[in-house]
Amino acid sequence: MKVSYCWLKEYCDFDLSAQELADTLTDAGFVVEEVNPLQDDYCLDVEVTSNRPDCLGVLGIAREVAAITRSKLRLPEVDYKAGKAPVDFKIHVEDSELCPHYTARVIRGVKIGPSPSWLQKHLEAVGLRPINNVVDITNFVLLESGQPLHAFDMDKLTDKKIVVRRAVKGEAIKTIDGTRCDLTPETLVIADGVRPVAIAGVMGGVDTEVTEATKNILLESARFMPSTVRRAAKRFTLSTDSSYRFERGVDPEGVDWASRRAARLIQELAGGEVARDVIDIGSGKIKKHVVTLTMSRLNAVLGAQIEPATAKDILSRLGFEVKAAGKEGFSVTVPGFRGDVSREIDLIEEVARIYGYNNIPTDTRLSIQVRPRGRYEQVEGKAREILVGWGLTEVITYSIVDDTQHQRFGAFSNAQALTIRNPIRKGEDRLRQTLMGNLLKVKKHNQDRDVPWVKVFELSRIYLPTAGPEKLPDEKTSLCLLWEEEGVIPERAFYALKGIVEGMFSALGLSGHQQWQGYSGESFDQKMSCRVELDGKLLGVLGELKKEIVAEFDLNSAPILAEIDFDAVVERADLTTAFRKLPLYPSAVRDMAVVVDEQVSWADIEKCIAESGLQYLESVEFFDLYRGKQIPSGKKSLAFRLYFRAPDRTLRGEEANEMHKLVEERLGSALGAVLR
Amino acid sequence: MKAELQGIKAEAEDELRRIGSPDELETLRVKYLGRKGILSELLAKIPSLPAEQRPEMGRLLNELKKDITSRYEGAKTALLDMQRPKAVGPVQDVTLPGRRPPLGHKHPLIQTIEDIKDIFADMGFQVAFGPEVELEFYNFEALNIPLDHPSRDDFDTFYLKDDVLLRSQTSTVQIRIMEKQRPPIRIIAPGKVFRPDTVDATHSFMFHQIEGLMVEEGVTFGHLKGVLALFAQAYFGPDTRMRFRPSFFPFTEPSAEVEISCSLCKGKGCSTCGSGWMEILGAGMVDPNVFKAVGYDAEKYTGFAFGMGVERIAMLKYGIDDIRLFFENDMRFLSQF
Ligand SMILES: [Zn+2]
Repeated sequence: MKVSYCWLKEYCDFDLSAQELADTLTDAGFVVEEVNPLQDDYCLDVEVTSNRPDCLGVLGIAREVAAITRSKLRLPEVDYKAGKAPVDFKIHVEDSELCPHYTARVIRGVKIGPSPSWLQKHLEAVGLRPINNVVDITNFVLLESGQPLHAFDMDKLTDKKIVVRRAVKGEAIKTIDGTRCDLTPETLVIADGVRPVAIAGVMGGVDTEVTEATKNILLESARFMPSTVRRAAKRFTLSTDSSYRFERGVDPEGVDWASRRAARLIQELAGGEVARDVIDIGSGKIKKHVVTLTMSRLNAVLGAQIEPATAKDILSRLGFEVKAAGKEGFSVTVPGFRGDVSREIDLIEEVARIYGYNNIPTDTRLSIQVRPRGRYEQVEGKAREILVGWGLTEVITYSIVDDTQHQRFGAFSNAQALTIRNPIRKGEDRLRQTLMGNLLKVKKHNQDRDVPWVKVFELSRIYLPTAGPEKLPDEKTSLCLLWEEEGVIPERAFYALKGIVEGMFSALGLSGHQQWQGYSGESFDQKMSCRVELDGKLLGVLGELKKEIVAEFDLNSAPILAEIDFDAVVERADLTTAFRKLPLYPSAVRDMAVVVDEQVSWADIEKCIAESGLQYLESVEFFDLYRGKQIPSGKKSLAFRLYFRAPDRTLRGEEANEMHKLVEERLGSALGAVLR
Repeated sequence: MKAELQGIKAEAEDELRRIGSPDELETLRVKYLGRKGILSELLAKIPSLPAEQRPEMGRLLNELKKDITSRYEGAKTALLDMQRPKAVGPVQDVTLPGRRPPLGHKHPLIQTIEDIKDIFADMGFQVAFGPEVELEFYNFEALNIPLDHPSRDDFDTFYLKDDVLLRSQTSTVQIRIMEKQRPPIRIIAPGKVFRPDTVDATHSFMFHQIEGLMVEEGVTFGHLKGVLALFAQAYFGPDTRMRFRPSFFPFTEPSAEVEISCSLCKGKGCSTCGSGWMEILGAGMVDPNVFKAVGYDAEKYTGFAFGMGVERIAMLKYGIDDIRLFFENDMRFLSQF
């Protein structure tokens, strides 16, 4: 809210420069974003939080300043001379729930003209354009008190009556700013005998506005329910000074006050006679809140030692009525303009705020508590260390993606992606089901900036729709990796990334049976594409990006991608370490190279060796794959190393040779392998 | 005489070590190994020794001669090497760069989260998580943000369905944790949040927050100040000062905006901070209505909560001037961290 420094001074004597005032308000919770110097004034841009509508009027701010600076608050005069004429006008509030309080004053015989210069200056200081004396006065009182007012040209109201009611379907109104609004029963309107003449709390209609020719005025001051005003303002995108205040709630006790204030000013500046009677519907309903404040609670919450007298003084200055109650408590009556205060904690905040948060002692005496790091955090942290150590850089990409087809890559779901109703950009409304598309975009972004050979990973959530009755999707943490390296042999990069994934699984102590197998995902090249299962359940996929997609994303090479279900990794990881005794006797090592059909996989060979039941076989290690000279076409050579070891003695050379021979025979008979 | 030999040995070794030129080396050779050198002189003395000592001394003297000769040759070679620096043959150019194994980089936001997490972990706070796609209840109602209230405007939100949204704050995790856990509670919840803001240098529709929550009997606003001061000093440096300003959040009361003295200008005021102070987080005592929503006894327990923007903290810490850099993932940016 814009506040004029000079205007504020009319209600309160404080000894602060404009900048000091700004700092003081900021420290009390009203952040002053700007202090703009004017010709002989300053305009402060004050941020008023949504719980403090009372400070959407200069008087409210003045009350705060008076409380902080311990100076006196001066309220303006509101008395006027009432005339003898009765009111010949009817007001009917049909919906008293949406309009709990409605007042109207009638002022006859006004002379519309320009406002005096002091009034014009006040309005201009806060950026308002003066219009005519009556309209300016309603604006002035709104800015002064925070209570919106509206002046109708009474002679333009049909049937000498006002009805506060919901609009009827088909009705419309042209507001003062010239917008035509089609109304529905959702909107509360002020109507005359035949038609709506204002959208309640938002804006008046152009047909009944005060003009140069206006003689008689109906002055409305009312209270409307915040939600109804909010909805109307949203619906017609009409955020006005009035709607802004009604949405946040006006002072129930200030409705009539503001009306009297405006009547007095109109009488003073535009002449005319204020009718004897006032129409006032609903004023009796106002109930005051009385809240108990105990000093022990106050100090227990704040961790301070504030004296009762201090608390009492602060609350009184803020306009609360404070009476001693019990040994160490107060019974506090809340003024109408403080609708935000209804509980003890609200009063505690008020005391703390003015006492000064910075005067409350800082307390670092906490009990010691030690808690182990959670499992997810531990596994995630370790995985991250491993990947970064192996040269991959972590990226973070947006969870909301566009509707390009890369969403179909997802290994974990091919359902229709979840969408956002109100995206900021049309088309960018999908929640990702895979991280792969985003990593390709990272590659492209870097490629366009001449950064070659990207090796990246992302560890973030993907959002998978569920078929069940759950309202929330299955949020899976996905680990996605993209790897490329210089060189012409694509297998090299493929096995490099596979090695990283396997190595990570092993370092994380993944329990269960891992099985790698061929995979025909939509995104990968058939020849270099695989999936890995953990005890028969999909754990992830890995492969070389398909040529068509490489072209589609305009990439200069085909990277290797992998996407892993990281939740499953966390679930099956085992970071505990159990020491195994070091072997007492040396191992015997034998190398072997066999030629087999292309169809025979390394897994077949491993399995065959494992099933041969050799007592002293410790491990088998692959080290070379060879095709080419000396190897017939359709065949390949696989070389590996066998480690034999006995726990209780050194194996003799003949024993190792015998076992080596056995492996050879077994591979020969089971897989047709021939020693190379 | 044995002692004499040892003395000679030590002296010769010492002198050889300090040789700087061929001339010096030659002088030394003459001194020890020359025809009239020290060793020759000693050799000449042997016949005059008692018979039983002669073989022993002869052997020792020979050993010494061998030793000095070999050291002399060594020194000679070294001297020659030194004298022909431009000699042909493979010489290591030690100024060539070493071969560095590739090292990846953690994303700066992750690093920031980890650093912050670690500090709070030292104070007994445990990491907690919650869903990013969230029920409206957890994002609003349970946090004392009623429907149709202007305070909802501060948390503009992406909706999937009427009551399903992308969380606009990590405070949702407070509720989820309190629903299933009884005090004492000390948690820290990092994660992504979403708000429909147009992207520019300081706004992003997706960003990260860290939420903190502590609920115990007897927790005070003073403790909130204490915990945050310890954090600020650990993260931004021991000289960091802190100040609290009243603010409004629906789920805390009293609520505060917390500022720290600028680490760049030490609070004097500079182009980054303006006033010397930088806003880093929002905090407050948990509102009794929030306790009510999760079934805690608000008379018995008190607590505080705080929330900070990770991007903002990382930008302050590293001097980054554009939030978009975090999500572009340019390797030239990421490799700086
Ligand atoms: Zn600074």
